[in-house]
Amino acid sequence: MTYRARGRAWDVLTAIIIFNLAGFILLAFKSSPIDDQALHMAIFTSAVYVISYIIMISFFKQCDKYITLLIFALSSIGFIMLYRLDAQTAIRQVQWFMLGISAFFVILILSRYMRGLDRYFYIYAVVSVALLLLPMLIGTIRGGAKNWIEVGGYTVQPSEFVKLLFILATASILKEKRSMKELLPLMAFAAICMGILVLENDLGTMVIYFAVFVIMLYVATSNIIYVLGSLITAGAVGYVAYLTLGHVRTRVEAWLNPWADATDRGYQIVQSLIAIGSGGWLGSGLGLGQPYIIPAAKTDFIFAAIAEEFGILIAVAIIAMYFILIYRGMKMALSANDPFNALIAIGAAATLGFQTFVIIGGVIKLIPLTGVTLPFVSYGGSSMVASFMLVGIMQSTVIQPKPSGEVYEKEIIGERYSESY
Amino acid sequence: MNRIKRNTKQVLAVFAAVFMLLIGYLLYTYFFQGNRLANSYYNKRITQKSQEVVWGDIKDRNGEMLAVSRQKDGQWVRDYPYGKVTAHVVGYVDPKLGRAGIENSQATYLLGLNNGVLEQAVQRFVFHELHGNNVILTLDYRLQKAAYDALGNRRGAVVAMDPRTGEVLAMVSKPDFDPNNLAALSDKDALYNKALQGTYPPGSVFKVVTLASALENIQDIDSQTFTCNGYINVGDYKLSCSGNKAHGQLDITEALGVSCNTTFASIGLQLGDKLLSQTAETFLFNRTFAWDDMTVYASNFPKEEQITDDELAKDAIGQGKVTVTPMHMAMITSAIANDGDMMQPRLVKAVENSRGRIIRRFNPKRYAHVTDKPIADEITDMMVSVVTDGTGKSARISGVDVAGKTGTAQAGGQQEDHAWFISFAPADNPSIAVAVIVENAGTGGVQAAPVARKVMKQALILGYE
Amino acid sequence: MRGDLYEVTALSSRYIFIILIYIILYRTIKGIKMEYALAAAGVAKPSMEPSYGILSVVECLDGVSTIWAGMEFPIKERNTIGRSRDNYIIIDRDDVSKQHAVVYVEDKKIYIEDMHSKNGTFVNGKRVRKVTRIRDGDSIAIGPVMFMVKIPAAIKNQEIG
Repeated sequence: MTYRARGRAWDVLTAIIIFNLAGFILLAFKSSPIDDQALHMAIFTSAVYVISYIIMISFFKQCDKYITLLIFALSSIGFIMLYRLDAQTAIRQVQWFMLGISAFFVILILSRYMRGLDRYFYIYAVVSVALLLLPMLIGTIRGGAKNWIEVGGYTVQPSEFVKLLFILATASILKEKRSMKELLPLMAFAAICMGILVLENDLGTMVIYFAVFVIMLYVATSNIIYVLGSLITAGAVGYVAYLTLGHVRTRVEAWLNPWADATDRGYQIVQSLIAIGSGGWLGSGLGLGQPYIIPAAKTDFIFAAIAEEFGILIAVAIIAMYFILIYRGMKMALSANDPFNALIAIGAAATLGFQTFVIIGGVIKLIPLTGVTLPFVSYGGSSMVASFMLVGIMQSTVIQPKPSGEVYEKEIIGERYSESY
Repeated sequence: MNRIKRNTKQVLAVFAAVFMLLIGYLLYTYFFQGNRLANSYYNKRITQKSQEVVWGDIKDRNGEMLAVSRQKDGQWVRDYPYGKVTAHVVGYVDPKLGRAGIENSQATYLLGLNNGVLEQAVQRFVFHELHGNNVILTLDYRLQKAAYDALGNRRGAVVAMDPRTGEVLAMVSKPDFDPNNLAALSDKDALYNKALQGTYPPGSVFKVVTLASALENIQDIDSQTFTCNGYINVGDYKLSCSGNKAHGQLDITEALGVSCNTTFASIGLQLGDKLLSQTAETFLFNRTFAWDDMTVYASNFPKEEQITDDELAKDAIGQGKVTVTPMHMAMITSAIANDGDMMQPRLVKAVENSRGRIIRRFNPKRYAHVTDKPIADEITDMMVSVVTDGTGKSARISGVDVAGKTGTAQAGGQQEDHAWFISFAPADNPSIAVAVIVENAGTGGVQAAPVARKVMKQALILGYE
Repeated sequence: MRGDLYEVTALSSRYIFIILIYIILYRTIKGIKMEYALAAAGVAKPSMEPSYGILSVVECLDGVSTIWAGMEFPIKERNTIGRSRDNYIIIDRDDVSKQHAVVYVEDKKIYIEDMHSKNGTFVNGKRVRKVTRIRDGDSIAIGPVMFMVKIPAAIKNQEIG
């Protein structure tokens, strides 16, 4: 009976911790003598999970603990895979994770005091555009895309963080019924953002912005004409890009028939598919495959690396986990009490969901490959922190900003019992 | 607010569908392509594993060794006891040339990459050496040798299979190469397996497909009589029978027997492009076959919006743009022999572990139903008369009914024609089907039919029935 | 670790990883479903309705699907307890009557009333037959379930003040 008393969420956490420990301990025994660092990672990451979870259930009870747990599970798979590929990368990834979850908590705390976030469209818009322009001015090129800037020795990808502002800006306008004319500034803003991303060659992120914009537009207006208009425009622009931009065509051709040029243009996708095929249902076993053959195994193609060593069954479970995550996000939209909050929850959930679809779809050759990260799993500081921030604003929609005075005490009790079983 | 909620639910439903699609496509990819992906030529894991694991043996259906790993000066080397005879089927592993044949397509088995924990534990802790699994082929070395010898030094290919099971009993491609001495290879074209990858104009052997289409689509085809003047004018084009020979009045059975181009061209015109290309696609033209143990290049039946009558007439007699692989021709022959059911051709019969225990068996699979039994039976009867009274007399075997069809395909330019022969025996209960092409050799009845005859006779002597 | 031993261990542990991941998935789905079941019963969401205390489940015999030890039910104006689905607290067992008891608030004081149940309602071990006031720390036993009454200090002070 005491077992049941702790509830299912604790069971989930326990399973995650066991998984995490098992993965790192196995990796520790891979080398001889035993790799102490892996054991330290096992204990440290598990402690981070437990502590974060306790903070979560003690101070942020209204928030969805299952979303947090799914993030733990996904990041744990990511940590183990990264450690297996390169220990130093995994250690940095844990640091990013801690930074990310801190940012998440900070957003939750701030949201208690923040009201009227829906009034600052122009501020969001200007800051977004400025941040997106930064890499063009002082940026560095990485993997063919000029979307990085260097800050104090670290490379930061502003487009990851602008996702947040983009959602806030879009929700600020769409929270009310608007005439076509009132929508124009938003349309212009969205077009500018996507234009900059195209110029920076960051097509994957551009596609995500676009999809999220269309989804939010549809949800807010129910206007199928806007949606069709956007899709037709996108189709036209995409077709022109296919005809004029060499790298777009290369990608589409590599998608249609990667085997035609398996050693050059189709190389990434061919190696990714081969890795998935080599792993099979159960995987080759942790440390027994050769995921380092896959290009960009730590970032864009980590899903293929996981499929190789952990197997297709786990790869399928990962896709299911992402779905539950965005499902819970959308549920928050359903229980939100005003359109602005609902739109934010939808925007954040759609961003994570679509990003996941784009990269996994690309890796398994369902759609043309565009280089974006797999949220919480791929290596990358910007991606990890920005993903946490997205979950942060998503969760903040259920937190009531603290009103001043009179009903204060009732609220305390309200919070206390809200999620206490 | 309610509208937002309703729309959110719709968006959620779309996401659910999209994520199901991801899972579905992942499973689909693995289920249908996983093996081929893992065995891919581009899979560097296989090269790396080769360092640690001793490759398993490749045997024919009777246990004859076709590829063995032997210890030589403390090192494992690959040896192919029958060298050239089985070269294209078995393939090779070479640091420079890569991998081919069964050595390529079954590499994961031969290296034991899919072996479970128990097998791995036994090998590691009991035998202290990792051995891959042995692959047992459907091939019969004795038939393979017969086909190899029958083809001699001529260029071409032979495919023999059991029409009831799709088991490939022999597959020869010439010119050949010596897998034990790849360094001496002078002509890289010899590596090319023509049985699977050579696409040739089929010539008159394609008339079998035209015939199937006619029997299916033209009600009174059996009662029609045709008049052959040795040629037919289609538009501006003059299509003639071989040697401009006028066959006079004949019915369809006689037309097939003498391989009358004029008659079949007019049947093609009667059918029209739509029905003929429909039948061709039912017989799986324009389709690449990508199976775990072999990849067969697509045969081609031209698909054009507008087709002129002379093009159509040429298609109907297997000239023009129609091309076919020897394997596909063997599949079509087998399908007619097997009451219209086309079996999936298979090279791998089973896989056994290094201690000789069978761990995987591959069963016959019906791949397509290409025509109905009455039509298949009628074609069979006609093909029997090709051998008894027609162009295929040199394939006769005493005491056995042989069904066959000759083909003499224009190779283009000044080159000598390609000689084709497809056949199966015994006609009433076929146990072997053979497709033979001899490149630039002349007429099918003279050049190819004797090769097929030798293979079929050997099969019957060996007791395939 | 020696290569061979590591390889065999890693191969075996594939099964463990798969089982663990599916446990995580299964438990998550189960937990979410449970949350919705409770939300449907009207207790999961923080309600803006004022609350006067908490009925905390301290003991629950096995075989009751709707309740387990550790659950806490905020006490509202009127809280019905019983076997049928329209109750605030549903105890799905045969020894509990359809409408078993009701806890209600009147003038900021909390009372319990037995609704002529077959097997009775017990406060601090004594069967109650008429309306009884309950206070912080009292125990209420109904069928297989034992509740503890908790009244937060904030409310107690209010009551006194």
